Amino acid sequence: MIQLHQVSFSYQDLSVLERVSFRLERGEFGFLIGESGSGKTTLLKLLNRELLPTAGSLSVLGQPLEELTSATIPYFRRKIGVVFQDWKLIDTKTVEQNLEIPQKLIGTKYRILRENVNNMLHQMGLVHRKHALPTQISNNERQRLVIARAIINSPLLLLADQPTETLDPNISLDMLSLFDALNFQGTTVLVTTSDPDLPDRFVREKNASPKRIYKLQDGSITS
Amino acid sequence: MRYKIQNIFTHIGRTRLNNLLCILTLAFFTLVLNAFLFNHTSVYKDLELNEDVPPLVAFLNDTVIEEDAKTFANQLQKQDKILFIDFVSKEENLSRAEEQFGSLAKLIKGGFSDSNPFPASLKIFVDSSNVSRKTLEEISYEIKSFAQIDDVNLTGSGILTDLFRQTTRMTIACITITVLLIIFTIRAAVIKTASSRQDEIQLINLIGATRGHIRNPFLFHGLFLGFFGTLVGLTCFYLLYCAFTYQLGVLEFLPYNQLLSVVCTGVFLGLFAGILANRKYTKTYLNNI
Repeated sequence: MIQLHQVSFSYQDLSVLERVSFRLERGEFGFLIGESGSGKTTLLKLLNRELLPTAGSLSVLGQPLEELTSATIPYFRRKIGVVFQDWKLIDTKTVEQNLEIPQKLIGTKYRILRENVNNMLHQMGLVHRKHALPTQISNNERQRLVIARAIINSPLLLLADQPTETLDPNISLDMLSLFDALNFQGTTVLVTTSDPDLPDRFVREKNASPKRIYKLQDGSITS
Repeated sequence: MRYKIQNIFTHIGRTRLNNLLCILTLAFFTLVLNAFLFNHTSVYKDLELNEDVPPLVAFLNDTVIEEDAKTFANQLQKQDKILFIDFVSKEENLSRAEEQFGSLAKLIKGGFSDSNPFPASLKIFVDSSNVSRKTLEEISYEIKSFAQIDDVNLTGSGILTDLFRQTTRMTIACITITVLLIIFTIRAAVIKTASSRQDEIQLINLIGATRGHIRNPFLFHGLFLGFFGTLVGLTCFYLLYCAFTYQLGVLEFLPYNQLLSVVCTGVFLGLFAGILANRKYTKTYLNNI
């Protein structure tokens, strides 16, 4: 599903990732743990083909990313759900409209779109906020909206960039339970976090099955 | 498709004041351009009316007999810039005047106790495409200096040709400047609108928007501004024409094909400016497309 081989990336002279290699198989749930500035977000950007590695090769969903062209990138990205660290919500659109965007992009028929959006609003507990703007809802609700937007198209792979950073601990675990449920349905999940205890706490408190854990330190995978 | 269309309207509707200002600016440019086109077309129509009129008419002295006049005309014809010369006898001039003025010509003739008061003349045709008004005047002075010549008239034809050349040059310059200004204005307006919804464009790019999703709003926005800008400009010009019809006299409004080509050009330039705006925006903000 995800395969990185000796991947390096640098912003001009600043090296961010050094010969990173790891595999995440189809249907797995992985945590990528690393301190702030360790290269977690850069790694997710590489996986979403926002960036290209300066060295090494990576393939996602069985697709070598260096082979993607500008015309095929959009179709590749449609198979991936991304929870962005900075949310990337459209402040001028309501919660409902924000949720409609991914469905509209893939050309979902209006009736099915309405059904999917309403289901997702129910599932995320955002029905009562559907006409509110993202600036009018709480951080928790915003995070739920971002997750809803990432999973509404039933992606094959979910990349979540520090989704629990702004949430209080209990809600963080609830969010991870939601990811776990998605993973149970077959979606491969990769979650990044700067909290090294989060995976253990999640497994312990939510009785979840053990997850694959990768530690990113100084641009390299250490364990 | 539904989202593509919605996206286009959202894009256009995002910065209404920006659009309004852009349309007004484009309307002003179109107005100025139309004024030049109007002037050019009017001069051209006048020129067409005077197509057969020679630029210079030299009136011969009554003392010059027909044979000498023809010899003199042949000599003159050898000069540079003179294409050919037609000799018109006194009788021909009289009969032409009778044709043109009817009883008035008879009255004139009567005033001269039945003698023919009209002089013989030389219709002098020059290469109008290369002769300016100043050169025409110089040729006229030169011919006038001959003893056989009583007077030389510059008809409107030569002057009109020169004027037409000048207005053509000015109109081409105006079209060039206007085209550049229109492209610049539309491109700036489209980029400004795109910048105001940058967060949305970046998001849809990251979650699977195709090139069409991102590009189409730019193109249609450019097209929209180009179309309405020129349309408002033409409307204003027509209103001004109606308001000043009396002062303009017999001048006709621009022909339909010219009006249509102005709008089509506006639409085309809008589309082109939209493409430029899209390229600029994509290069600046979306480096992976």
